[in-house]
Amino acid sequence: MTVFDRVAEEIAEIAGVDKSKVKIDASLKDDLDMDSLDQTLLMIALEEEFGQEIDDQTAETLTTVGQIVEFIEEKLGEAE
Amino acid sequence: MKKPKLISLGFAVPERSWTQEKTFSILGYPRQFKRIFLDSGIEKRHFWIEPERMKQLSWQEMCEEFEKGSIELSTRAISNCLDGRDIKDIGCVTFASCTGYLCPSTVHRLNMGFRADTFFTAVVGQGCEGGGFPGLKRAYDFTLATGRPSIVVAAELCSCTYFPEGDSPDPENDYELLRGNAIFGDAASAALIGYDDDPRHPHIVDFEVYTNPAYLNDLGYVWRNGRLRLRLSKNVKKYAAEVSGEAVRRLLNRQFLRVSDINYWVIHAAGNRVLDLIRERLGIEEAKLYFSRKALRLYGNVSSATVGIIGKLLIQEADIKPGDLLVMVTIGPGISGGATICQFKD
Repeated sequence: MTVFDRVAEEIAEIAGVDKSKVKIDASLKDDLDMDSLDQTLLMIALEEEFGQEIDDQTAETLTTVGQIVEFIEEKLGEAE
Repeated sequence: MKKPKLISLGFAVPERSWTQEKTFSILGYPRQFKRIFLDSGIEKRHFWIEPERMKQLSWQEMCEEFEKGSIELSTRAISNCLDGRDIKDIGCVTFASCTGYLCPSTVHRLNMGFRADTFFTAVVGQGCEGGGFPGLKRAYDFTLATGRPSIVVAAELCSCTYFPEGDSPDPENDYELLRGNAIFGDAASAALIGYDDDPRHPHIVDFEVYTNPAYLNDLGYVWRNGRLRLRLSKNVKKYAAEVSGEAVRRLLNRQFLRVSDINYWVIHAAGNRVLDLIRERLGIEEAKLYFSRKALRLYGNVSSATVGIIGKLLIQEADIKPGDLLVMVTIGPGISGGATICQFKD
């Protein structure tokens, strides 16, 4: 599975939406109706899924699916 | 028959307040959850029971704190509302709260000099709309029927219903305790209903309510381990917008009015997102939510005391003109939405 697929799966579960609704350019708040608690739970789930820490300040800047995927890909690249 | 007016509003809060950052730190949630507190649209909240003590008190001690707090805050809110008017003129006092229970009720314990033939009523179990809708309606109906002034006072001490969690937030029903601990505060507000000739005091024109029982278990309290435990599901914001939107729609239709005809909105400041969803559903201009956002920022969600505070801020600060229309929107368990329309007239 790609990073996007894994992120989309986590989002679908927390936001309670079908995975097909999670698009790369979707806004967590406006398109997926994720409030700040959902977004926090997502960051915790992603830390666990990818084994990468997401600091709180960075987490606040990740407002779209694309930003999250890009951030995780970068982190995974650094780790290699 | 001439319709009663909203003559005055008043409110009171506990002396001390805590910023969201400080409250978060005291409650001790893991760092990742700080954002829930900081993104709430709230700067600070007042608490009767200091956050440092919330975790330590037994249910019995919290109930005793409710007794003291509800009496003190109700007394101060009523005094602020009466603003020197004679308490002996009051024919009926309705007390509302969902955060504590006393028998005799708090209203019987207010040592304020009410006449012996003053009617007392207690509204319980109606959550965030207890004071602002059924309580207000009781006061309105009494004044309409007797011609005598009446008061409704709502005292909510949410800190007295703090439910202990472990080291991490309890995920039951979508982290509802965490959600609640991030937004609820303590306050009392009071409204005086009666008749006068002052054009700054609006006539109460009409009421509407809409309840969808499909959402019965999404909002309220349940008993758990001998304590009240908040029930606040993730979907409440959506349901709240639906029921309150429907109440408003029906009310405006009956009055042959459009949303754009309303000059002022006093919408229960349940949370920033609830306000967003109601605004979007009804097509209200963001500027007209100014006083709801302001009350949320300064006091948090103080349950059924909230709309009284918003109304007071509005009456104090808004440039009200004769003919202006105001709609008050409440949200409570059921899930129920209430809407009341008032008009300022010469």
